[in-house]
Formats: sequence, C-alpha cells, structure tokens
Amino acid sequence: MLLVLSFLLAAAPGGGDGAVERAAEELSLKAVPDPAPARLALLVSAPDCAPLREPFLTALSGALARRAQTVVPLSGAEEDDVEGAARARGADALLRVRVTLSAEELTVLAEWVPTRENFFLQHAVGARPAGARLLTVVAAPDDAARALLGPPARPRPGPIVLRPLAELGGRLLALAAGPTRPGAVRLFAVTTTAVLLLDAHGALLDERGLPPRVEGPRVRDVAAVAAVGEFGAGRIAYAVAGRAEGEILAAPDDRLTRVEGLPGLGATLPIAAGGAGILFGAFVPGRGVLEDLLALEKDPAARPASGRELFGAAAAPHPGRAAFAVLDCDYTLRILGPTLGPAFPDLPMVGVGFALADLEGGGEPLLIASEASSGPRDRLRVLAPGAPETVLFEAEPGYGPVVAAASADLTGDGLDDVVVATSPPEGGTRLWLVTADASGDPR
Amino acid sequence: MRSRALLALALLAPCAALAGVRPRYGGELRVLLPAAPAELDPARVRGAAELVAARATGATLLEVDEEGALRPALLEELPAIEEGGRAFRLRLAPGLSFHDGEPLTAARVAESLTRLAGPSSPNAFLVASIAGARAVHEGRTATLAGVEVLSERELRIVLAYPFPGFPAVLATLPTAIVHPRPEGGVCGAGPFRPVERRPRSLRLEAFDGYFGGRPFADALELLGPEPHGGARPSLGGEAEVVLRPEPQRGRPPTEGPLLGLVLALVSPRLGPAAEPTRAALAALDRADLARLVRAPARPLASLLGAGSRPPDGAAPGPGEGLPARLRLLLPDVPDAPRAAAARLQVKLYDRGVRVALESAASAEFAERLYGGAYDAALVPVWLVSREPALVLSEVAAAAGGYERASRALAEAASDGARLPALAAALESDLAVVPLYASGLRASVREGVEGLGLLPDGTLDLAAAWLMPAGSGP
Repeated sequence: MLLVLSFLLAAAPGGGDGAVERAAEELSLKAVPDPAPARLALLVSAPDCAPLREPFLTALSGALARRAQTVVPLSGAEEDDVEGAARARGADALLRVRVTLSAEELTVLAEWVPTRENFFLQHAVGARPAGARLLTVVAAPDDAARALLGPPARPRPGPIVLRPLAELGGRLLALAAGPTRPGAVRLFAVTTTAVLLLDAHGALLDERGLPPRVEGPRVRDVAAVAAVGEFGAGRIAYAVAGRAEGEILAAPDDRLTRVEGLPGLGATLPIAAGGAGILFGAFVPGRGVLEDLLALEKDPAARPASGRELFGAAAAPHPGRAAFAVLDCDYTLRILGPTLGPAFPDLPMVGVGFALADLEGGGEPLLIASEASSGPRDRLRVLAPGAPETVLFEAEPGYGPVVAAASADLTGDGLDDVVVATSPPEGGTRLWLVTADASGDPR
Repeated sequence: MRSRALLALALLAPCAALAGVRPRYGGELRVLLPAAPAELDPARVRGAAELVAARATGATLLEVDEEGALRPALLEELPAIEEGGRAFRLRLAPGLSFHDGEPLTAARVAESLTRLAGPSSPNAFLVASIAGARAVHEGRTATLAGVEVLSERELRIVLAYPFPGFPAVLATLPTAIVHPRPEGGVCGAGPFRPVERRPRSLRLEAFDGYFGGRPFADALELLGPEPHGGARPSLGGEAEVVLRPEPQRGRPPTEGPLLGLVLALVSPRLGPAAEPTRAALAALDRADLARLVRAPARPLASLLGAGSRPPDGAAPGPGEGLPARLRLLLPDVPDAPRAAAARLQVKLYDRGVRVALESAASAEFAERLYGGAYDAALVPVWLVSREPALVLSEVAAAAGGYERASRALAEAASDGARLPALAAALESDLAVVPLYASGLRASVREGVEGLGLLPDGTLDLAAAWLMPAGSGP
C-alpha cells in the first residue's frame, strides 16, 4: 500500500530557527522509519526559492545519515534521467524532494522511488511502493531565519490576458500540461481518436492512436483524463473511458513512447498531477464520469467515498492551501488541500473546463473556470478560491464553450499559465493561453 | 448508403450550445405521449406512442444518423451487399446482450426476424422481401428460409428479389431484435428495460448493457393522457417531455416529421357508387381538412407526398352517382381522425349523402378493411420509415393486407423511377384517397437537455439528461 503522510509543525516559540532542520528531520523519519543501512540517492530542488536548496540538502543529508543511510546527492544536471543516475551510483532507492516557501509555510514534497525497472509492479517484500509521497508542511514564521532563506524569487506579473494559441482538428476530451523533460513544457491533448503532443505554442509534435475499445456496450459520454507528472519512467498518463487500457508515455525527444499500460475498466488511474503529487481516481464502469474515489496513491483496494460522480479534476502546479480541485456532476467544485481535505468552501455551478494555477505568483493558486449554465455563451473567469465573489479576470465571450483546461508555466517566467480549450460552433478545438506574463509568448 | 427523404435529427434542447456543461447521469424523465403505450412487442407496435416506447426499449441492427444516412447499431458495420442487392451479409458487434443478460447472437436475430414475419405480426410486410417470408406469414413453416446463420455473430439474408434498399428495413423499429420470454412477452436490448406497467403509464429503467451506452436518465415514465384530463396537459407539472399533437406552454415546440397519414378508402361493395364516392372524396378541400387537425399537418396530394399527382377529374354534381347513405368506418384508437370524419360528414351532406360514423376495435377494423366489409373508411397510418418503397408497402398493408403489401414492396423495390406510377396504381387499386399527413409536437421543460427528435418521429430518450435544479442561465 502506498503511503501519504502530512503534518504541520507548530512554530517553535521564539522564532523560526531550525524550521529547515526540523522539516528535514521529520522527512527522514517518514522516509526511513526503520533505520537499516542502505544507499540512498537524493535530489533536492527548490524551484521557487533557490537559496533554500543548499541548506535543506545539507540538513536532510545529515538527518538521513543519522538513520544509517549513505546519501548520494544528485545534481540538477542529472534531472534528465534521475532514476538512471541513481541506479548508476548503485543506490537502492531515490528520494526526490521539492521544497517551496509560500506565505508562512515551508512545504516539503518528497517522492520515494525504488530504483527498479518496473514502475507499477513492485511488490517485492520490503520494497516501498513506487511513487509514495511523503509530505511535510512546516510553518516558517516571518522572522530573521526566514529572511535568511530569502524571499521567493517572484517575477512581477502583468495583467491577466487571454490569447489565442492554436487550433486543433477534432473534439478534445482532455488536456494536460507540464514538463516532459527539463526545460521542455509540453501540452498533451486527448481527442476522440488520438493523443497529441504539442509544444507550448500548440504546434503538433507527435500523435498516437488510442488503445482499442472494450467489447460490449459503448460509453455514451466519451471522456478522458490526462496528466503530466512523474510517473516513473514516463511523464504523461492518460486514459479514455471505455478503452481497454490507459497508457503511461514518455516523450524525451518529443516523440510519444509507450512506457507501460494502465489498467482500464474501474481501476485507479492518475487523473491529475501537480506540485502536491499525483491524484488518482477511477472511471465509473461504462460511463465517462469518475467515481468519488480520490487518493494520492494508487490503491487497488480503494472504494468510492460516496455515490457522487465527478466530471474531472485539476491539480495546481504550485500548491498553496489549494492543491487539487474536483468537479462533482452537479457542477459543484470542491477545492482540496495537499492531503485532500477541504481547503476552501465549495463553489456552485462551475463549468467542466477548469484549472488551478498561481497566475500572479501570489503563493496561492487561482481558479480558472467557466460557469455551468443553460445559456449558449460561456464566460471564462479567474477567481481566488477564498474570495470567489471577486472576479480577477473575465474573458470576452464568443469563443465557444470551455471544454478543458490545464496549467503549467508555458511562458517560462516562473509563473503558472493556463491553456484553455474551447469548442467553437464551427467544430474542432481552439486553444487559448491565460497568462499574467507581461512579456508575452509561450517559450 | 443514404436513406432518402429522411429528416435530420432535431435537438429539442440546444445541448451543443450549452456553456461549460457536460451530460450528467441520473434522474427520471416523464414523457407524455398521445396514448399510453399498450404494446411493446416490436412486431406488433403501431402508432407514434408505441413506436416511442419501442425506441426506448428496442435496439435495431441499423440506425439512421443525424444526416439521414444509415449507420451500424447492433451490427458492427453496414451490411455487405451480395448478388447485386439480392443478399446481404451481416456481422453483429461483439458483446451484445438482451435486457435479461442473454447474449444477442446471430441465431437470436434470425429468430427475431422470423417472428416479425409471422402470421400475427401486422408489421410482417417489412420483411416480406426475405426469401420464404410468405410461407412463414402463412404459417406453413416456422423457419425463415432466407436467413442463414453463419456463425455466432454472422448471418446472411437472401431476398426473394433484388432490393438494394433493404438495409433501410433493418433500421425500422418493428425490426428491433427481441427474444420471447418464457413467461410471455418479449425481451429487448434497447436503452431502457420495462419494469412496471400501469393502466396509464409504462415505467422503464436504464439498461447498463445497452450497446450504445447506458442512458443518462435512470428511469423513464411513458404516460398517456388522463382519461378526463384537459385538452392541453401542462409541461412541467405532469411531464418533463411532451410529444403530442397540440402545442404546449413552455418552451417553443419542435414539430416532428409528418409521418401520420390519413387515408380515405372506398369499398368495392358500393358497386356503381364506389367510383363517384371516391371522386367526391378526392375532390374535397384537403387543405381545409388539414387545418382542422390540432397537430402540424399538410394536405396530401399523393401517397408519396410529392404533390405531383394530377388533380382528380371534376367532382360529380350533387347526388350524381353517390349513395344516399354511407357508413364511414373508423378505428377505435386514440389517434383516430375524428375531426376529419366530422368534416367529411358535413361536406358529403352538402352533396346529398348522409354519413354515419362507426368505429371498430383495431383487429376488427383491419379484418373488415381486408374483407371489404365497409362502405368507406378513414385509415390512420403511422409510417415506420420514409423510404418510399416501404411507405407504399405500409400503406398497402394498412389498406389491403399482407398480400397487397408484399406485392407493392416487390414492385417498388427494384425500380425507384417507377415509384410515382406505382403509388398512383396503388391508390387506384385500393380506392385510396390520401387526405393529409400530420405529425407531433415535442416540447421539453427547462433543464432537460440533449433530447433529440429522430427522423422516424420518435425521441432519442437515451441521450436526454437533466441539469441540476436551479441552474438556469
């Protein structure tokens, strides 16, 4: 069984001294609960706060060493094939750690990856399941110690704008975005006939046919899920309701390559991926909607929490209090925190294409969504989940209903952007970029 | 392969234009029809209400798509034509099942088509072109010779004559594939399965195993009007969907195709008065008759509705050759053309003919028609297809019985260019005067989405879904 751990450390009286050390210590305890000598490759990144990387790497290396681990630090240059690098150094496992500092919280997200070939089929006795996430959230009060770590290097956002990006043939079912390798942010689209790899401008790089349909009844409301994240040797996961299987794909050279299949028909699948990890869910058998089954780990024994059905899910690339959002089939949007607890009050009548993205670098993701309504026109809006009555941006209507959205840093300015797919009346799909990047274009 | 003269699917609610929504599962739809569906056996269904029920409960081998073209339904692909249109090879899609879970196989298809061809089937004319159909209809054999089961999923249908348009037959609702239940009745494979019959309604539940995907609504209630209800049942209070002749309050109605023909027939037993009577009926102002109908209607100049038929000769003068008394027979069915009958009474009285109306139950009505035991009759025919050869055959079946229908189909099957002449010949042979064609109006309550009016005048209830309450624009 996979494991997710989350806890909040109260700020120590008298200041934030040692927050980094305490977070490192807590993570080492969770990662190595029973000390036994092992060789552990360690990759630490702090994408939003570079000065934090070294102190945390030092603190965590020390904490792990105290738990009988021989630590092999990996450099950012090895990120391209970090698992290969870990294997090459003879490591038994890889611990990938991402540290972010937002508002008054130090967030540490870690992934334990056994350095084995097969991602999903690791059932060896004593082996940790792949992709287990060990989440540590540490309060870091605004004091001298925090100042020492340095403020997050936030670019100055411009006004939020909506720009046309590209047009696709066919009907789009799902959209995802994210880096398929270091420095290469890509879009991934699932249509009714194929999966498409697009560059950040929406230009087609590669495509591949869908797996065969399952024999027997069709799925009336054809639907799909897609995510770009860390899926072992692949970076893309998708599944189409009613198809025999989903797939994990890699695109190291902008060519879609199958890594392995994902079981279809009611199995738990990645349905979104972001900074807080991978969100797993499952299609209701025979339907294009998801069960009320949400988990941060792949758990074949998981059962739906209720009879509710979901249209879809989104994950924030840079989570804050909000990390995930799921849309119930009554168009109620639930905004969830990194451990899937409610982060903000539910929002009613949210449209089916939505995303969470920290467009302005404020440390808390915004909601980008349209409104579900019986009217023929659609409105795309940007809201703060904690203050949904304040509309930060509203797009001009007239470009067709929003059918999907995905978030990633497409412009390379360090701020999240959102790609929105609309279905114009004349057919096909149009992609739009929602960005606060004052400089302009996707990279 | 394109079926001629079919209307495109008309969405009653503009699903495609909805903002930010997707169809959702759940809920129940109540559908108010011209009558409560009394018959669920596709081989025996007649009239709009029963065809709507057949669409909800049945599955056909082929379907007509939004543009009027045939597309595979239970079949994996369109039938392969062999022997110049005299034979067709069919292959079923994999994994099909009936409502009771029984596999839907090629053998079951053969049984179902044989059943449709049987003696008790008023829709047997549809498969009259299959080799051996006559013998089955006459009860001489229980095996339809022209249907060969090749494997679990393959069969071959051999016709008695070339009929390239035969696949259109396989898209008509009476050909929906069923198997008889041991306890009586039939078991279908459509999107909904019947669960309860009440005097005024039929309750259906969604069938998860439907080949086209589980319907969005969990349940359907198909309702007939209250016996003593108002003339205009209200949309919303009693039903979410109304398919009836009269207009409804609420959303503007969508008018369906004019598939309800009303024909006047004159019996040869009138002797010398027969032809003057037919001429008097033909000389009636049919536009005037059509205006009397509550439903959308238009006058019908010929059986094929092309309006190209030359006008009848001058009407005979008052009393000239006409009988002094005439008994006008009507079927005792909810959609009987009573308003038209009353108008005929008035118009013929002006010509010196006293018309007495009499009605007969459906079986007796058909028996008297085929046996010539009437003076004149008004015959409502709800077309199951707009394919001209099938239209002629259905009219011939209604007015003259299986033999005449079988002949009409054979004549019409091979030569499309002769259809107008064949229609005129049929009108003359059977002393048929086409009067008008009418349809139904479909209305939906706010919040019902995705519902389409199909080219055959039925509703695509499997595609209908409900917006959450209180989610107006």
